[in-house]
Amino acid sequence: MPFRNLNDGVTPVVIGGNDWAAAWAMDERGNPLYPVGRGYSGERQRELAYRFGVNLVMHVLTGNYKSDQVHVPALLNRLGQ
Amino acid sequence: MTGSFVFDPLLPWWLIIALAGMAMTAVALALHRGLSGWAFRAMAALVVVAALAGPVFQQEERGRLSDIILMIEDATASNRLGDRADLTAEAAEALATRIEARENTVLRRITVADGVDNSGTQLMTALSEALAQEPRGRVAGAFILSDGRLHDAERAPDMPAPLHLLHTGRESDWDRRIKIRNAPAFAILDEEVVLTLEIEDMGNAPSDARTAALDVAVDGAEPRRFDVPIGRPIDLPIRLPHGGRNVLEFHTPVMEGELTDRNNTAIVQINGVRDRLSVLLVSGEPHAGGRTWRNLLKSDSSVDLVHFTILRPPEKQDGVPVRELSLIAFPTRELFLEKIDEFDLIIFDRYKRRGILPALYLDNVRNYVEQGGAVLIAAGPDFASADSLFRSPIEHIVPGRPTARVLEEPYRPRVTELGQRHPVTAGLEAEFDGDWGQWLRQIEVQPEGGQVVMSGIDEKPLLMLDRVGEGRVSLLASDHAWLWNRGFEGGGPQLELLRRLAHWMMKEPELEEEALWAEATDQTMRIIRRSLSENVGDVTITTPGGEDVVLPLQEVSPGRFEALFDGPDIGLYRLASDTHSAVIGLGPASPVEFEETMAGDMDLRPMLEATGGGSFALVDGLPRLREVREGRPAAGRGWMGITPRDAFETLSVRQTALLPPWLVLLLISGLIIGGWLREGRRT
Repeated sequence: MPFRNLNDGVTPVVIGGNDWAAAWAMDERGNPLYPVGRGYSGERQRELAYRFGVNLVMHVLTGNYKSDQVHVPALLNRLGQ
Repeated sequence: MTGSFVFDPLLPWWLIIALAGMAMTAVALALHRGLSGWAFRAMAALVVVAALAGPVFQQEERGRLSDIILMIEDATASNRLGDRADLTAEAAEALATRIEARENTVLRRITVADGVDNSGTQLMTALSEALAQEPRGRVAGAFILSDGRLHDAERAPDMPAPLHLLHTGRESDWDRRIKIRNAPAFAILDEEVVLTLEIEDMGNAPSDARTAALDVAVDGAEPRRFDVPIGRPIDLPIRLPHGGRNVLEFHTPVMEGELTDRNNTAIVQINGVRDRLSVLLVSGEPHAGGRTWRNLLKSDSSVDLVHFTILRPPEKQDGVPVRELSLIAFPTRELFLEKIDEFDLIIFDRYKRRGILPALYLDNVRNYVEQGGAVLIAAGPDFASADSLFRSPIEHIVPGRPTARVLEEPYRPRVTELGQRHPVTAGLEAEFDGDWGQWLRQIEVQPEGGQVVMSGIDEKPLLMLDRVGEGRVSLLASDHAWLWNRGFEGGGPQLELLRRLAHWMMKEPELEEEALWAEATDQTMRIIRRSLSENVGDVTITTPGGEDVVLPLQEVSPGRFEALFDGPDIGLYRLASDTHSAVIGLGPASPVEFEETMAGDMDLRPMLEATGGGSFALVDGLPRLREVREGRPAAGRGWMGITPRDAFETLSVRQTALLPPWLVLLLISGLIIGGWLREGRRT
């Protein structure tokens, strides 16, 4: 992890092969601006793009929160001993 | 004036010997052949050889030098016990008179005082230094008047003359002391540490005593008395009562006839440190400041951080199948019911009621605080809302009531006048260069008790601290502390502020608002009193001797009052000011001078034996002085020897040649002519 020590393990740049921004884009009324895939499978792709976006924001806001959680059960176990 | 023959050969010795050999061979040949003048020729050869060897009569004029005798008087604390000082002084005078009465003898007197920094009796250093200043060849002896206890035996010099010890011990001497075998400098709170100590009787102690009373006092409190066996190490399990400096005082009553009471008390100072601190951080939602809290707590290696962020509140119903979510359960029951007492600090960071923590759990949080826990609420806009954490059983302990207004405008946080005196915020400006950056949001709260140490927009309270029951609560009425962290408008001392805040909540002794303590350097102590009030009472110092000294305290910075006091004695000082009290031990825990108080030659014996000197007890009277030759035993029953060195200096040298050239010429020519005449007449 190249950014482990720099920015709480949060990467400043995300590069991917998918056009997430196009899937997220919507107009004032909330309708998608660009088509994604075809039919039902396209909607599924858009849904997953949204979920990826949510996860990305969570990652940026919480840093390595999730990797810390690995230690929580051990910490809780140690408490009260 | 002394005279001696020396040779000053004109040729190398081997050449002279070779010439002599050749001459002898020639003479022997002459004798064999019946040469009548052979005796003349042999004598002529002898004269030549003798002239070549160059005999000289050397006369020296010598000045006799005096013998030097060193006398070292021990004036250290261990040689001032009882009547030792008088005994030493008397003997020194008597010995000095005797030595000075000897002809041609010079006495050098050296007095050894207590070594600096508790280094004890530096007798051998003094002896080495004195020897270095005198020519070795003139030193005829050295006398040490001491209790014989020294702490630099490894620096003993190579003595050219006998070294004698006149010690101040008595047969009847005895002393009881407390010896601390091992005392940790640090100990973890709530864990037992074992301290080993021993009460030891030295010398001619009353033999019927098997046990001795031992008083143990912690932080100057009323001592508790135990009966402990003498002469056996005792393991004393100790549990420190509080963090910071704990002063343990051990004392055994002074017995009749003891040499000194100075080693009957031992002071041990142990710093109490906490084991790992457990902090529970509950973030109500992911937000930009969340990482700030985490980083702060993670950066402290002594903190175990349990962090939960509510990523997805339970009321969210959007039809996502559970198997497509990767969420971590929030073990609320375990955290807030079963293990809540194990945490040292609980931080609610923008937390709002969401049906995750039932009222019962929050009531338990209130309980936890009242029984000594700590809760820090970093309020976001949620705190002003209807779902505010305030609208729960926690209401009773939170120092501020939200007015439901959220003020969103830039402002610069300020430390209030009270905050200048409070250890959490005192001197915060000095921790950061330049102006602090602005914050952009503040939750309006109505103070309900507690202390406002920082203010924001229009002096509205920003940081409030309060004590509830035995616990502590603080409320930070903004979630924008992270702006300082990210350097917004230059940033601010966010790290220092949050660190101090967290440590104050966890009851670090050095961040107590009302405190009295002292710092000691050598024999001077700086008494420090921190207080939130503007005036504090005088401090009363009770010295080890039981005297009371009252000193006024001067305010040196807001909320910090100081006084300086020079403690004349080593020992435990009790301080009291207003309702606070403290104890401090001045000087080394056990002065090295009083560790061994029995006088005798135990430490010095190898050195005395090496020089042929002896040791004598001064109470038996001063031994006679006697002259002995170098290398002979220099001590015996009732006498001690010095070795006169007969040193001299050469003032002038005069050399007279025994065979001057004219005499050689005359002798050789006379003998050769005599030989020639004799040989010529016979033929």
